[in-house]
Amino acid sequence: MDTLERTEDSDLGARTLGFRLFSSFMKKHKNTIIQYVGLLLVLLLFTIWTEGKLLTPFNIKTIIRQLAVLYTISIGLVFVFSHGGMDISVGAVLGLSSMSTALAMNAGVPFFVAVLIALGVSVTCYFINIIIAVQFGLMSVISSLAIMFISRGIVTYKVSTSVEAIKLQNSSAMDIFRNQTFILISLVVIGIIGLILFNWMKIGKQSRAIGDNPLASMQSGVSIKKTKIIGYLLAGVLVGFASLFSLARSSTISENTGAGLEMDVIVALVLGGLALNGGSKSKMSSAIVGTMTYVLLNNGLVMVGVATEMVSLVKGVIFLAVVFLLLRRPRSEVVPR
Amino acid sequence: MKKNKWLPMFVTVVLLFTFVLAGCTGSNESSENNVNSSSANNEGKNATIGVMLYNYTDIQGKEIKSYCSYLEQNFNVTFKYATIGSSEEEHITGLENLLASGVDAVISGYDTALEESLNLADDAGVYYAVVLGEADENVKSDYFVGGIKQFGENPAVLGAVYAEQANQAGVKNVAITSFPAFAFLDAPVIIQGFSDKMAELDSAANVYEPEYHSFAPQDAIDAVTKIISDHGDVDAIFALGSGMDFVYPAVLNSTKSDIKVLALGYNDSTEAALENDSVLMAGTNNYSQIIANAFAQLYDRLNGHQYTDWKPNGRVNYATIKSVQDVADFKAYVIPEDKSQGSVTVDELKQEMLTYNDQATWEGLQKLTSRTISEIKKARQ
Amino acid sequence: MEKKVFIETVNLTKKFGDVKAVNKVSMKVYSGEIRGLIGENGSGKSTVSSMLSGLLPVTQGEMFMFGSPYRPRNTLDARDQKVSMIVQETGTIQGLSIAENIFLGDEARFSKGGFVDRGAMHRESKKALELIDMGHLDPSKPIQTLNFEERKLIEIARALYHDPSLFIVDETTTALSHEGREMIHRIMRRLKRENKAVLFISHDLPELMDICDSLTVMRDGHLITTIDRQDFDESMIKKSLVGREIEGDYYRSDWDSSHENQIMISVENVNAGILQDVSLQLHKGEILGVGGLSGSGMHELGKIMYGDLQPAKGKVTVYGSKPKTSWWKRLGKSGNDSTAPHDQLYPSPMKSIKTAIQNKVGYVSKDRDQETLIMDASIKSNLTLSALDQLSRMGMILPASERKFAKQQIEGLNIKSSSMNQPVGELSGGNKQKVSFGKWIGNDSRILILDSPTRGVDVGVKATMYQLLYSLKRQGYSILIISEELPELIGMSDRILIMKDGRIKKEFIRSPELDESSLIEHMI
Repeated sequence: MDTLERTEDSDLGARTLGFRLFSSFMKKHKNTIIQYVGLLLVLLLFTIWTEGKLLTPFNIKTIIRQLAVLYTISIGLVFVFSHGGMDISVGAVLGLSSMSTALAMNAGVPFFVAVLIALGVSVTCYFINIIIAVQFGLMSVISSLAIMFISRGIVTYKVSTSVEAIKLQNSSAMDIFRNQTFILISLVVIGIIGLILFNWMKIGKQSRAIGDNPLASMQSGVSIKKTKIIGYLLAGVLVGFASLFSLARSSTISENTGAGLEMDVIVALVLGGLALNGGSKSKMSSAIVGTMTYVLLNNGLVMVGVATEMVSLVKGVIFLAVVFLLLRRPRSEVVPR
Repeated sequence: MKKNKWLPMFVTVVLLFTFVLAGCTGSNESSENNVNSSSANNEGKNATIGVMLYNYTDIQGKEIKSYCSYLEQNFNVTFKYATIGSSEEEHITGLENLLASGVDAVISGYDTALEESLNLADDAGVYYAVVLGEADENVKSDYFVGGIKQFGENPAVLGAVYAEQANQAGVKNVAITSFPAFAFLDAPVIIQGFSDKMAELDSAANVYEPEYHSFAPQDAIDAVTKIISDHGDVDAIFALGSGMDFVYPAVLNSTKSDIKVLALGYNDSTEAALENDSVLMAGTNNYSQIIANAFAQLYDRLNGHQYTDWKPNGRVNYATIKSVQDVADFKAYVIPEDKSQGSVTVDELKQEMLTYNDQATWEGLQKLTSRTISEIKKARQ
Repeated sequence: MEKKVFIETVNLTKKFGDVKAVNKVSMKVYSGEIRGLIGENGSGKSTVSSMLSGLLPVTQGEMFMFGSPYRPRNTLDARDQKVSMIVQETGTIQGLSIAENIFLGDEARFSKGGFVDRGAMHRESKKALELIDMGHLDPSKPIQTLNFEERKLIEIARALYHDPSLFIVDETTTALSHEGREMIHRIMRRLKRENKAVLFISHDLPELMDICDSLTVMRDGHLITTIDRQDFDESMIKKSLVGREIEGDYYRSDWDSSHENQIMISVENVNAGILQDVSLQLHKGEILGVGGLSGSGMHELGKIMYGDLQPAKGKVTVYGSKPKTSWWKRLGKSGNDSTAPHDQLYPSPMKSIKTAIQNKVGYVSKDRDQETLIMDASIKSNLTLSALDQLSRMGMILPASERKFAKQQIEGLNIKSSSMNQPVGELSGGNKQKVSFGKWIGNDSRILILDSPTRGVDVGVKATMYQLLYSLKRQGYSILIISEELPELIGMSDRILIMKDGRIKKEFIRSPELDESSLIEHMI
């Protein structure tokens, strides 16, 4: 009797010890873990629900293809969001960039020139955007609104005045951007470059500092204008690159090309745990994790065949759940001095 | 005690999800079971067909879904719906997701990124149909069953029908509103048919230059305001761009609310508007005919049959409504609750499908799916 | 006079997570007394006052007011029970008027049919302002028309308006100038005469000893001792504060004012804002003190010398590394730069903060939490931010070198933290200040411009900072200290400049004879 009790006791002790170790581990790495919880949740949920169909080679290929555009853009925009910027022009800029490339290729320019045009157009858009914001002290969201209207306006004008639909005459020229291996390598390389730039180089560190406290950053020798401009230029390059993926996927241009991307990016970044007001909590991994979560979520919902009436609701619940988890940062009382 | 709070929270949230998802798939499974039991006596093989539309909540989406479930009850088929956005990227993504989920054929509402969509369909060996518009005839693919002309063989004829109605009502000065031609390819032809017929019927009638507007209600309001200020004597508007939803309310709220509307479009206020004569004519696509047309071809192909007289673009009838009686007929034969009383019944459809009838022809199918309301009414009696 | 216990705490305890910030504190505050509360940062003194004023809930223990249990639900509840506190950090809300700030959260008082009766509110505000001798202000003006000090006084007016029986002043005076302090002292004495109680929390021991009737010393969350006025003894109090004798002298002990002749920063006839025709030189190995009242222009002087403000007239020259010639200019010349001696200093005009940093100038702002540190970022990020160029190898700043750099500073300055990844905002005032020093010492700055370097820093940390500054001087650093604390200037500087109304009024050379009153004479 006595011994029995003791065994139970020590058993209980071991269990509580195990739990304690577990919870202290969780506590220590909470923010890191939480960042991946959304992704794991979605992955687990849909793997079970589709009875593994989610992870068939065919679907994994599909997911990688779908990642290309959103992922590339998100990595670029982390450089904008981290310093406290806000951009809603990305869809329109991507549309304009894709269209310019398509028109150039149809006019017969060599492929690498077309690539440069894609990058050039979006870099120009983002450069103008940040120059307006910096020079006139405008909120960056307002200048991006202007860029959005102009870019979308140009695309709509061109599409509506073209006699026939704008599409790549020689669509196979873009085959490299449809190549599964090339896409995968690009994603890995872009991810690594993004991580290095953001975590190991001045631009990333200074962006985060500005996002938190521009005044203190300035007094620490950070050039705010320069950092913001470099951040936007990086975003421009990546949006340009994404426009090539996008063009390769659709081959055609319409007034809707790229529409809605600006929202997708924001949702994806939030799902990845990015604080949209920037600062030291910004993480590059948010872009990577977030876009994966987002694409998996959309893919999974169709794979499962969730009733269309429910799709929005389910999306909303998942979004809320992830955001809820992410926002539960340790928020204890602040010790007075 | 504070530190472990998030764990139970997390568990709660996971459970919450599980319930939500369980709810959804639960209902799905039950409908699948129904299909299996009722389709035991069918000869066609089991197929899953994906559907891609912007939404399933407007009358078009609801009617399409409703006709699909009628088909599910009578054929060995399951439909899987994907809501997609209007951009190319979203279209392709939606298609890829459907393909990955293992559908055998896809009904797409739109011809967005048609070539790349067909490349994907080819690679996956999945048949593909565009239903809410004509498809580019130059696009070649073994898996493409074509598009559907929404306004019959010749859209000009539809314009002429509207002109006749306008003439009967005695309107003299008619303005035209429409979505831009790049988005509404048939608009110029319909407008031409309308103008020609007006000139033929009444040489004294004026038909003004079309006023093109974009896709928001406010754009339609602006167009109506401009018409009233440009042409003070206007007494009717032939509204091609969401005539009932956008233009009719815009007219009612304008300074000249007695303008008669000839609308391309139909909604719940049509009946009342026809009754008090503020709308002279309305009309809408016949959703059952659209899906019947595409389904017949997709299902035949899946069962290894193809019409010898096949052409890329089929046709359906554009249901027009000129009176309160027409509204009643429309409700009874185009959008009835019970689709077996509607535009295309399963038995009629099977007659035009090679799977069930060796003699069936593509042209026969087009005839079946382009019957007018009165023809359908006759067939039902 | 019979002393009546006004507020009593019994075993008052407050936990933050696992940390006991206040541990079983039992104290009594009497009516008609000014009680000083002193302790190092993190000793728990502010936590005690926060519980008394309803800002923080009590974890354990009881509080009594006139013998009956006192449990304020929040600050408003405490205020209704006649306990009001003014704190160092919070303050006023920009964009609201003076009156709205005074009656923040209390607008219902002037409610008239659902609307706020502005007229009544302004009349009452006037009354509140008169309590602090600021009746001349227009209550309808927006609060940002006032300067920092006046805003602080508005807070005091807000607290006083409700006629508190216990008035808690938490470190407010450190933010105020001499006149401001005098005003608060007057108010405290008046409350005392009215048989109210005052709890005065401060770092400034002389100030506390001057004004308080009794002093309670706290350390590590414990109440150490309570001393009555007649027993005040500075060194004894200091000892009980830190729990040990402060080793050696508080300030530097030598009276040698010598330094090298090399000029590091020269300011010539500068006019900027309030500054009028200011000229000065900071030499190598010199500690130059600048004193004055808060409106004297001394803070602006610091910014001018850091390139953060540009002079309207005159020039600022810094002596440091060779100015970088742009590559296109270098193309023209044949490159034999390497012959130049390594330690040669070159003058360059102070054009921007960038010039300052390139020439090894570091700056710690008076408003450290807003302008020098990033509260949400880690200690490591804060330390490395100004040294990114130095840490970068082929454009990359590797985590290992960052950690090494941060570790060096944390150990060198003895910064107390749970890890280098802890956000700076969680540190105590003294450790925050150490981080802002570390930023510049780490990036090899040779010239330090320190505006109010020991503001909000407790005695123990102050002593180590003074030692640090002195050792830096001996290593050849040039240090400019801008401070309102005259003993500090006298104790540390080789040379003191006193400013008044934007001009340098007087220069003093280090000497044992120098005392506060001779400096004050030139300030006012």
